[in-house]
Amino acid sequence: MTRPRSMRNALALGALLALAAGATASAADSWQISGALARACQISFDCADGDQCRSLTLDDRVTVQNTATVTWQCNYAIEAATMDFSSENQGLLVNPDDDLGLPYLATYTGGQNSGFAGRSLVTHVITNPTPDTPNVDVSGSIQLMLQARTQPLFAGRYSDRITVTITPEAP
Amino acid sequence: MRGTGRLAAGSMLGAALISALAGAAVAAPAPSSPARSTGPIEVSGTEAVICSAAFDESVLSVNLAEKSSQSVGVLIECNARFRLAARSRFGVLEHETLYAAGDPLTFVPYTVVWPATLINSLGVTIAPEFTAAGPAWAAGLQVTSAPTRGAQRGVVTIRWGPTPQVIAGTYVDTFALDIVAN
Repeated sequence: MTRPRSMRNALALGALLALAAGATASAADSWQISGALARACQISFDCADGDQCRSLTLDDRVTVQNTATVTWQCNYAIEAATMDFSSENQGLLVNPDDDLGLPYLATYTGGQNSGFAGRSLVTHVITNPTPDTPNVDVSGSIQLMLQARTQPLFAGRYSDRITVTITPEAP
Repeated sequence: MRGTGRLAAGSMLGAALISALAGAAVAAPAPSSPARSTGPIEVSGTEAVICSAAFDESVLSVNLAEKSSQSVGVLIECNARFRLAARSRFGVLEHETLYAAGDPLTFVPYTVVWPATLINSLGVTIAPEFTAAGPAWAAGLQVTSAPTRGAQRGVVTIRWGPTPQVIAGTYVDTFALDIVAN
């Protein structure tokens, strides 16, 4: 039996539409992207005298003397970081002409568990700050109290270099 | 997203890869950044120079016939490296009015004994070469030294011999110390 041309064309169109409809259903898709931001902390210091704190009164062995203001912040909260306070001369102010150093005790007045009081830096002092809020500065002063020594000081400059390092604790 | 069958297959592979990567990122904790340090912060103070040299007495009178020596306390203090100079005016005890150069009846020779108790920070006696006869003092003596640790005290002694022949009267000399921080 021979179908009229118009009927044959209609059947062919129907088959194409069916094929097209099937192809469209199998191409549905979506994209997802995500990333991670590492924990990080920042730290800086400021001295009244510029980049060096030169204002210690060496003959004063009873007053707590302010040196630098140390400011830190972390980009997370609640969990801890580690702060490490170290001295180049193991807790002594030294003068190249004097083989005896001038010992001191250090204090850091920073909050959120970052501070400590009256410690020698003969070895590193470690604290574990727990930031309350991400990306908010916490400041404190590094204070020194010079200790007595039996021998008089020599003329000249007695100095030390203190480094404070902050490290985020791994989650 | 819609497309041809072939494109759709490629996109599904890409989505699977992204999902795998995203899944890994979500499952693993975010890494921590390295430690951050300050400065270091240089803290310091400066001690001023303190330097002095002095005799305990400015004038001493002694009977030359009854004694053969006279002592005077001396104090040396310098908290920096220093130069110490010593000098006497005449190098002998001169008769105040009748002194004549070369006339032994008008002067009394002497020797200075410098104290060994003046110690610098290295544990070394300061200026042992200052123990010398009067003419050396008159010519001037000079040493450099490490700092002292605090004030150092000692006794300088002037010694002279018998004086049976010298003319009666007053005999004098003047001693001076000069200390300068280097």
